[in-house]
Amino acid sequence: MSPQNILKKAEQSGLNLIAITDHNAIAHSILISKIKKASPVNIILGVELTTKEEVHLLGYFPDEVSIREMGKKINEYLPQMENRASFFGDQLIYDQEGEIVEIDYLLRQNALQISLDELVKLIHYLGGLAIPAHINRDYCSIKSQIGFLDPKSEFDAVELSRYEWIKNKCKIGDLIEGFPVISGSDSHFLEDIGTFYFEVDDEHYIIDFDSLKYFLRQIKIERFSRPSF
Amino acid sequence: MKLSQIVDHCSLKEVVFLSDEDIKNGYCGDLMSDVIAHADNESIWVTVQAHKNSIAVALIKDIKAIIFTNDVEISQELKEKAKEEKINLFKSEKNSFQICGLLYQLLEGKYYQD
Repeated sequence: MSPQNILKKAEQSGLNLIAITDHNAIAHSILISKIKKASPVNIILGVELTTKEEVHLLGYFPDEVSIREMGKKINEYLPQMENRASFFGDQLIYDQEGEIVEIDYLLRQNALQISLDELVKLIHYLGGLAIPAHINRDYCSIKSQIGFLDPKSEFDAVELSRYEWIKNKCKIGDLIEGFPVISGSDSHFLEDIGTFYFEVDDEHYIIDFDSLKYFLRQIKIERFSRPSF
Repeated sequence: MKLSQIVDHCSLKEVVFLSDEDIKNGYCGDLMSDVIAHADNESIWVTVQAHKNSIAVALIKDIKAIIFTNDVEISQELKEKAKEEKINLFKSEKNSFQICGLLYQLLEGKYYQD
């Protein structure tokens, strides 16, 4: 699952916009944005963080500076435990040529020692978007770990797993508790890429971080102007 | 059993102690979805999950008091919410297993003596 292969598969699948969001790891998200070059596939920088409560939180960032700073914070908050490669697999790091250049020995599956609320504040301080992942899943979600989604939270959106998205016939622009809903393929293998994606309607467009941020804010604001609220 | 007796027996540190409630049951769990599904009412809850949603879970389940174990950090926001909603909070440097052992003696031990 090198960034080169991911990009190629995304191109073949006709995707316009993707993000690599590895668990508590940023290297490949940055790498794919560097090798993109003339590819029609656009990239958003991102990472899937695990909070102290063991809630999975997606962070999306506007530029390399901000995600690198996030990367530094991850290393500060990540317990210094070694990865058990026999169970989790080796955490390989590729370079721009697609060669394996490093093995990451820290257990990235671990929970960062920072709370959900503090982490959301940190992401916002860095100019990023904070979006809890697969919020209704039975493990590592808002629902499983902290019971329910507080409408007063500072999240920019919430993510549903692809299965929930399809089950609930979601479309872009829908809200849960006032939060815009997004989804993704959550691809863990190359074959997963392109098997799920969501489409933006004719009235909106999302092609990069800025337009995603604008779109999510637009929906949130539209919500407050609705008379039924 | 009075909450104050539990506090003494388990050597709990008071964080927010508002009323000396009658405690009938106990539950231990760190996944709030599990606590919502399984905790009994009028109970005391042992956990390391010090997120402010714990207060809402306590209200839903009529949990009278929460014990945070392993000396986890309790935010000011959580304390304020507990005061507002009248949920008693305690903490201990002991782990959940040790606290549950002590609680079990107090709340369920009588069945062994009979």
